[in-house]
Amino acid sequence: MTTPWNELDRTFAVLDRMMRHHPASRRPTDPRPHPRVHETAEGWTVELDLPGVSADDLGLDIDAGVLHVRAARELPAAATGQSIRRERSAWSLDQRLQVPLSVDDDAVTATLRDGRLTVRLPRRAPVTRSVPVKAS
Amino acid sequence: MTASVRSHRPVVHTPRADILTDDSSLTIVVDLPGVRPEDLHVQLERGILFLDGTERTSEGAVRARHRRAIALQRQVDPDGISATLEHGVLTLQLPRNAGDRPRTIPVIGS
Repeated sequence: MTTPWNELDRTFAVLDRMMRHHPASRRPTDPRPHPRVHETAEGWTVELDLPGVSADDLGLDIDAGVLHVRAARELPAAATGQSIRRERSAWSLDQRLQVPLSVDDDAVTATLRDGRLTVRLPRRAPVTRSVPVKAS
Repeated sequence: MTASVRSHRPVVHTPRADILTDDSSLTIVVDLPGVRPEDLHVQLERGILFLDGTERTSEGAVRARHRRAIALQRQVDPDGISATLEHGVLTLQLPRNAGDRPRTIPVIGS
């Protein structure tokens, strides 16, 4: 039942719901690039969007089944007399990804093009060895 | 192997843009990773900047669209606009119209 006393409550409830969904009031999302991994016939591909990053600013290595990516993006501060409406974020990434055992570490390749890093992790050709069984 | 295993409609992203304004120019910087310069269209019409970029797979199929319309808050000289796309970042330099720059107006007291 709407009374003069609870009518404002309903208005505030509606406003609260609206504000919760407004992009400005959502919890800030992590600005760091998120790797996208997908499996292919040849193995795995890891993609990472690194806009503004050149090959010199990127550290990438693989060691004992762990792919290690290091990259950072800074944004210049406003010059004197300049105002900035900023949506982009500065970020620093230092991430390790566990790579499946079947990946051939020596055959891993990476390309950085148009701000996108693509790492190809080919699967090692399966080798089946028969295990001799000694009768005792 | 046939063209695309994934047959869903390409996704449309709204890229993030920074707008830097000073007395003489607007600079707009947009993150567009994975978009090649030949796949990016930039158009200025009636004070609105339209960006339309296509991201492709290595085979050339369309993977995503990146679109944004930015209403410019200042008047610019369309012939002086420059656009560069490097490392997936688009930088647009838009010189402001001389007539639109801030002008101090002297106040005469009596």
